[in-house]
This record gives sequence, C-alpha cells and structure tokens, in this order.
Amino acid sequence: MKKTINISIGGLSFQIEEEAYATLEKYLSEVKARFASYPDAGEIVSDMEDRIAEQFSAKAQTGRPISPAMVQELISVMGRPDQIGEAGKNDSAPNQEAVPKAPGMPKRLFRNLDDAILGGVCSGLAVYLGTDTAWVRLIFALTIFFGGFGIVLYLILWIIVPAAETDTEKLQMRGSPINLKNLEQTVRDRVAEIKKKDPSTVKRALAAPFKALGLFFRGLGRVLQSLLPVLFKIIGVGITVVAAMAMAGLVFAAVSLLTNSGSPYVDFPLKEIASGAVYYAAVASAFFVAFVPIVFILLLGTSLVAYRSTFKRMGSFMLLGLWVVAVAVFLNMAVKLAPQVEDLVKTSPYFQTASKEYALRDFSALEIGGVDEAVIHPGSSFKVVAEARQKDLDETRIFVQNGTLKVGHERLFKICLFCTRGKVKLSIYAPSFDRISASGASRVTSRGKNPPNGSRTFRCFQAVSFRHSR
Amino acid sequence: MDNKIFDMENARAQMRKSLLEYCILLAISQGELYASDILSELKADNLIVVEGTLYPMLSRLKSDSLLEYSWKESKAGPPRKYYRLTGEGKRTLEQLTLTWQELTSSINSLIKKYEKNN
Repeated sequence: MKKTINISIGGLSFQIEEEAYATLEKYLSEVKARFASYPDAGEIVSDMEDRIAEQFSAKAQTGRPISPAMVQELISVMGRPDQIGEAGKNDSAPNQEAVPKAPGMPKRLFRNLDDAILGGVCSGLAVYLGTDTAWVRLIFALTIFFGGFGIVLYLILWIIVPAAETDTEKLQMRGSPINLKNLEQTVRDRVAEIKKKDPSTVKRALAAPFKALGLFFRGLGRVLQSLLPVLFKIIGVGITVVAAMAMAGLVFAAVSLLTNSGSPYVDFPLKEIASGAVYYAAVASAFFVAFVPIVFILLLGTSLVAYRSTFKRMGSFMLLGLWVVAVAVFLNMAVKLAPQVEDLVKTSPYFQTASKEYALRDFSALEIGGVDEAVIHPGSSFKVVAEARQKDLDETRIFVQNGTLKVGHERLFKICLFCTRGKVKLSIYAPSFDRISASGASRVTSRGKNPPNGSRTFRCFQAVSFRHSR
Repeated sequence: MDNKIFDMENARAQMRKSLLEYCILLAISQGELYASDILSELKADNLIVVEGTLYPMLSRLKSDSLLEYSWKESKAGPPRKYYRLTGEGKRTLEQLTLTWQELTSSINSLIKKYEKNN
C-alpha cells in the first residue's frame, strides 16, 4: 500500500505517490533557488512547471499515480539544477546582474543568533567587521568600566538590528552571494553545528547564567518590540503637538517683534538698543536659530508617529545650512549689541533700584499676590515703603480699600509676552494685622512681638489668610 | 585536474550552449511556437540535452526584447505561452546568421586543410 497525494501543477491536477512528491518538491525548490538571482525567477519556474505538467499528463493517462521513477525520469529530462542554465564554467547572460555582485556582495548587519550570548549583537558586529567575536565582546564588556555606554548601545542595537533568521539572511550577513551552492552550504553547516554542539560541562556551566539572562532579555525584547510602535506613536504625537505649539509661539513672537517692538507684548526697550537693519537681522537670525531645531523635533515626532523616517535628505541639509548661517548672524549681532545692552542695563533708570514711600494709613489687613515680598511690622505706626526696580515700581499699585492694604500689579490684566516682572519688596508698618492673604508666589514675613509665635513667614500654601489674635 | 585532462563532454556542452540562443531564435523564426514545440524542434536536431536549460534562455531573450509572447488557448489543457520574434529579434537573427555563415566557411576551409595534410 502506498499513500498518494493530490497535487496541482501547471494548472493540472495529478495523483502522486508520497515519496515521489517529496522528490519533486525538493527538485522544484532547488530549481527555484537556482534561479533566485534572476529577474524573472517566478516566471521561469512556472514555465517549467507547465512543462512538467505536460510530461506527467502524457504519461499518467493510465490512471496510475505518479511514481518516484517517473519523477526521476522527469528530472533527468529537465536537468538537475546544476545542469540547467548558466551552471558550469562559462556562465553566460542572465547572471549579468548577479555575476558582478558575486565577488563583493555588500554585507548587511544582522544579529547572529547562531553564536549568541544575549542577542547576538556582538557576534553579528564581528561578522560584519570581519573580526573575531571575542574582541567585540571584550570591547563591549570593557565599556562597563567607562560609564557603560556599551550597554545602552547594545540594547539599542538589539532592538533595531534584525536577527539573521533565514538562510538567505545568514548569507547576506556574511556577504556571500545567494545561490544554491551557498544555501546548501549553510544547511550543511547547521547540521554540522548541531552535531558538534556538545561543549564540555565546565563551558556549559559557565554559559548557563548568560543563557538564562539571554532568555530573559530575549523575552523582554520581544515584548518591547511589540509595544514599541505604540509607545513611539504616543511619544511622537506628544512631540509633534509640543513642537507645533512652539513653532506657532515662535512665529507669533517674531512677528510681534518685527512689526511693533514697542507693543504691550514687549517691555524691554529694544528700540533703544538697535534700530533698522541691525534690529531686523538680530530678530530674524534669533528666530531661525530657534526655529530650525524645532522643525527637526517636529520631524522626529512625525517620524515616530509614521514609524518611518519623514526626514528628507535635501531638506535636512538646507535647514542645517540655514541654521548655521542664522547662528553666525546671531552671534555677530550679539557681539555687536552686547556692550549696548550692558550699558543700557547699567544706566537706564528703567533698571535701577528705587524706593518709594506711600502715604497710606488706616488698614488692618493685607492682600498680596504675584512674586512680591512683604515684611510686616505689627505694633507700630502706619508706614508703607516699597523697594524695587523703577520699572516695577511704576507698575505696582498699592492702595487701601475697606481697611485692607492691597498690593497689585497693573500688568495682571494685560497680555504681555516678553515682560519681565521684578520682585517688589515692601516694608509695611501698622498697629495690627487682623488678616493676611498671600497668593501666588508671594511671601509675607512678620517681624515683631505681636503675632503669635513671634517671627513667622507666610506663604501661599502655608497660610492663605490668618487671623491674628489680639 | 581540469588542466591535465581535456574535458570532452564539457567542451561539447559549451559549444552547444553558445549556439543554443541562436538555435532558439532560428526555431522561433518559423512562426509562433510554445515551449514544448521549441523543445521538440531542438531535440530532433540533438541541440539540447536537458530541457530545463531552455527556460532561463527564453526569459533572457525576452528581457533583451528579442522575443515576445502571447497566451493562447489549447485543447489539451491550460493556456500556453506562444513565443515570436520581435523586430529587434529578427534583425539579431539576420546578424547571427551572417556570423554563422562566415564562421562555417572559415571553419570548413580549415577542416579541408586539415584533411589534406592528414
């Protein structure tokens, strides 16, 4: 009794004995490998299958299944893979493409799992560089003593470098041309490897912890690899949104600086420092110095979302060039403007510290906000002194309302992009303070005998208000 | 090894092989043929040993645009690819025929000399 299988070949179906089928399948896969480097490999093989079907149908008319002998006969008629086509010494045409490549097929970097301790990164690198694996491993191990960047590099390579899994990839890893002979050789090597693989017990014991560690990391790597695209997408969306917002802000800032530098959005006396071309050049160059990196960050974000590089080589080079020019211009402007800025900060009344006494009285409570600081002196007669830069002093509003001393800033209700707000230091003298309210980053310090527990500092989060007992 | 013993079988195979493309073009020049027709044509004249050799050659002649094919129905089974020469193929065939005639005449004269001397 013989088992038969139904197969379809060249559009016809045949009954074939199991053994004959195995032979035929092996033959066809060898033929496929033989023509792997041909541009029309699929067509050649399917044409051959048509011919095989024709021959079978001529012989299998008796209704008997195809026997191994028939397959052998077929192979002798069609020719063994090494007899077909360009085999032999005088290789002719279709190898036009394959032949020049053959001597120096470019190597590809793969992880070599056949000789791996963890992920086969070192061994793959060694094959790629044509050195011994031991050296690469030694270098990676040594980096542990120099900050361990090798470990990080290893993990990155482990994630991004594919493993050489198929025989074709193993040949690519070694830069060997992909042909039947080499494929057969890798199979033979593998068989030999398995037979040979019986290292001494000492060696096995030494390798065991690494193997276990490797197994763990390989599992972890697989999990990470499946999570990675999702993680990348989430991070990518975040980066993209932030970068887009930064871009919008930057454009807005540049426009407001270029069109109307004295607007309420800017409180630094820019126009006093520079004017005309110098000013515009400085703003424009500063804009590009900040803008180009943001573009790259945005591209990084979109690359992560799309899970492929969205960088264009030409565009990247042009942006980089623009950035270099902008940096050069900006530095030039900065050198040119620096003394003037320094001078301005030193001499302008705008930036000098001043103090001012306010004639305010009849209050027993304090409300303060922003970044201002107050030192209260309970148990004395009414006196309010403020100390700050002239500019901040000018913008500070201090007044008494319903028995409460209020310290506010007129900018609180204005939009100002490039405004700096300096600290206003207040010394407030009064007979008593019933209630103190400090909001924001403001701070109130009490000096005197009257409040509980003597000297105390109140911050917004500690005591928004406190009622002080008489 | 290879240098010491002249590989007669290989020499004959090489000779046949280098002529095979010319022969395929010649066979197809008669009209539209499909692979099996070409094979029986070549086999009748003992020009081809293993059939598998034909297919990569057909593929190459086609990619060099000397041949083109069209699918045709057949009574016996699935549709078949029928090959014919392109204009380029016809010109190449003429050139090759010229070359062949030159070769045969010069080789024949060499053979005559050889026969006279022996």
